[in-house]
Amino acid sequence: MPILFRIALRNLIEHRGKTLIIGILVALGVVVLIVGNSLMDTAREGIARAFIDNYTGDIMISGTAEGPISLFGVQSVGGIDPTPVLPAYADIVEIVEQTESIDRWTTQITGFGFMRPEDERIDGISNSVLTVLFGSESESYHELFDNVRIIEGRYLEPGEQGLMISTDRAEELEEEAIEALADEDIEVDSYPITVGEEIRIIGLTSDGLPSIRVVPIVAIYETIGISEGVGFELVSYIDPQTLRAILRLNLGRSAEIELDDSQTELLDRSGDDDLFNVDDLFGDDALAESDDSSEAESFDFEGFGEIDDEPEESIATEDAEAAALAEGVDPRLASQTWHYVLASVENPRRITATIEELNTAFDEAGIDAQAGNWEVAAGPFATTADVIRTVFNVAIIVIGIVAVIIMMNTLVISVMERTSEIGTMRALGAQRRFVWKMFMYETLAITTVFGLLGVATALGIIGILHWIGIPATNTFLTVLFAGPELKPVASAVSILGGLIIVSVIGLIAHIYPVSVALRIQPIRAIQTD
Amino acid sequence: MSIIALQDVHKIYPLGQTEVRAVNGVSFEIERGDFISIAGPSGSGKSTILNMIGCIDTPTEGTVLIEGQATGGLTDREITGLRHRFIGFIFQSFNLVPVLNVFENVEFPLLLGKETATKSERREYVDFLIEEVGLSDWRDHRPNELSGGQRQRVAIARALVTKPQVVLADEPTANLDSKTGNAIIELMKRVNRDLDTTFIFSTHDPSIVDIADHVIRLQDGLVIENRRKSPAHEGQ
Repeated sequence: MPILFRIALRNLIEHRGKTLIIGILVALGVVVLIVGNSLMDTAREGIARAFIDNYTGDIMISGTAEGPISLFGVQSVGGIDPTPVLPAYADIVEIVEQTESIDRWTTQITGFGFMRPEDERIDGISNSVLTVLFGSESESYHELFDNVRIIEGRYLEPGEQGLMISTDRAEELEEEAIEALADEDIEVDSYPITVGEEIRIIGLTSDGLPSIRVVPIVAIYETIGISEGVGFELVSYIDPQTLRAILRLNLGRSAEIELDDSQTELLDRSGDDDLFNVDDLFGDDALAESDDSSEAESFDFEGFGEIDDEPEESIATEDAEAAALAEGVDPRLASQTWHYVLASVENPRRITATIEELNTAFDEAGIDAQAGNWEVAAGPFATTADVIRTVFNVAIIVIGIVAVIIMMNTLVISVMERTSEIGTMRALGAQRRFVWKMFMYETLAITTVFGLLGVATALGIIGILHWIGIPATNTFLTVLFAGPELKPVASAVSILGGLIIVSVIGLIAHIYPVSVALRIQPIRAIQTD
Repeated sequence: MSIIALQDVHKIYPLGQTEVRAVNGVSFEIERGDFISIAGPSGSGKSTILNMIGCIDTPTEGTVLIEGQATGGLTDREITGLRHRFIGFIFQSFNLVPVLNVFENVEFPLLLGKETATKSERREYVDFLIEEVGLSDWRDHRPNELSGGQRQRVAIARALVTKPQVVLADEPTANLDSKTGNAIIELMKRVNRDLDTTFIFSTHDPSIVDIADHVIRLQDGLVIENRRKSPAHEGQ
């Protein structure tokens, strides 16, 4: 063994106290980095898989807007910006069909609304249940996303109007209905929500004007592949025709909406109480007192937003779609009005390239559309893991700085104690490079030995955590873990990354002590001791 | 030509607001094969002169010549190389590398320069030196397992391993009892005779001073005696 290695190793053993301090810091650093990164990676991979497999696909194509567009619409400050309808839909579909790497695709419209059973004994929306409405072509959608298990009922048929709700929403509907009846002094023990039950949906539109539709439940399902907390438990699947009507998407951009006096009056209201008292808007009083249009509360919603009062342009579009469906046209192509095209690619490694290919094709065709990955589609949910990782990285940097200071001080003390030894070596003819190498070998030895010890410990911890699983004890963790528990898996990248980072920290910590050692003059050999 | 020459060498150390004049214009020459004692009381400048001869300290003024070459203008790398090739050191506190055993400590200086011998040649020569200083039975022991006298023998073997022209010993017997000290000086004398290596040692012990065949006596940083024994005196 070369003399430098011998000296380095024996010095580490000789000064075992200091070696242990530095070594434990190195090993702990490796453990924290590997375990932390494994947790982050596993969580991120889980979130990615949950979204890709269940809701976003590999690629989401949308129109463009000022704010970023996710599957939940446009993210904007201070209001609901309308989600843009895909422009030149037929051209987009042609490009998608011509893109070889795309395996399957479907379409979607997203809206938000409140729902409650259509029951004459219940009124107002204070006991309504919030829902995210996904309007999609059922067959291609559920072929792409195996995210529901039908408990009762069946999937929506093309052209059929109806609603598929989750068990979570069904339970909420039941609870709220019982409460609403109790408010009316009607005591019921249960209010079973079953297939066939008519549900009143009060849609939330970007222009602030509510839109109401009543549709039957065709299915109650359990969500699979993704857990509560991520937001998808709020999702209800609705036929796209109804959702278009709720969102008034079938109206041309230039079409004028004719408002009657009472509607105009509603828009003129400026008092906060008037604007935000939704019970006033949807309550019995509002619906019933339609004969007094001079009162704000007297606004008649019976004639607003209901199918019967739908503008002729919209009705004509829906009729055309129904006719196309009757002729057996691909349901995805029966209408030109969609918010998103969601696609999966055959080879996951080709996702980025495919997105680039699509965006280039859109640019060349002059289509104002954009393709993005699951992170774009998932919007704020996707950034959760990134935020946590950023916090983790900042913590690691802080811990790293503290570790460098502790290691540096320990090493400076070690150098001071060895001043005579280093001076003697210099006097005997050791060049500065020899002294530098000696300390580098010590760093290398300590990093290797304790780094590997750290790796072994980290793998042990990850193994145990994988075996027992880390339970998600709250909604935040459920979102972060993309499931009820996290089973971390160590990756080669995290192991190698951990070792490299700790080695770099070790080297940084050595810079100053080694510079002190290199400044030791041979005369110190006789001045000390 | 003298192997080492000091020409009007001064050494001044700053000490707070004042300065200490450790060496005040010293000049002398040392011949190859000399066995020299630099004697004097504490603070007379013995160690400072040895340090300047050994190129581990530099004069404030004056010139130190080694084989006719002034050491003043050399770089750190050149000075280190010169020390390695030309000078062996024996320290008062032995200064062995604590984590190396006797064999490794003696071998250590050989590993600092360019490899000129094979591993087996190197081992043979190191073992020869260990045997010469009488430590064959202690070859694999660490310094902390040795007595003071044994450690100084290791230091002597280490000082000789690179076959230097000059061995400098700064009060080599100061930390030893008189019997062991005498044995060490005798050993140095024998090596001086057998290998024709120049030995320069500092001491304030009068009984040891007389063993040297060239005595340079210092007081207050000045040479007060530079006496070379006659060959007839040498035998006594």
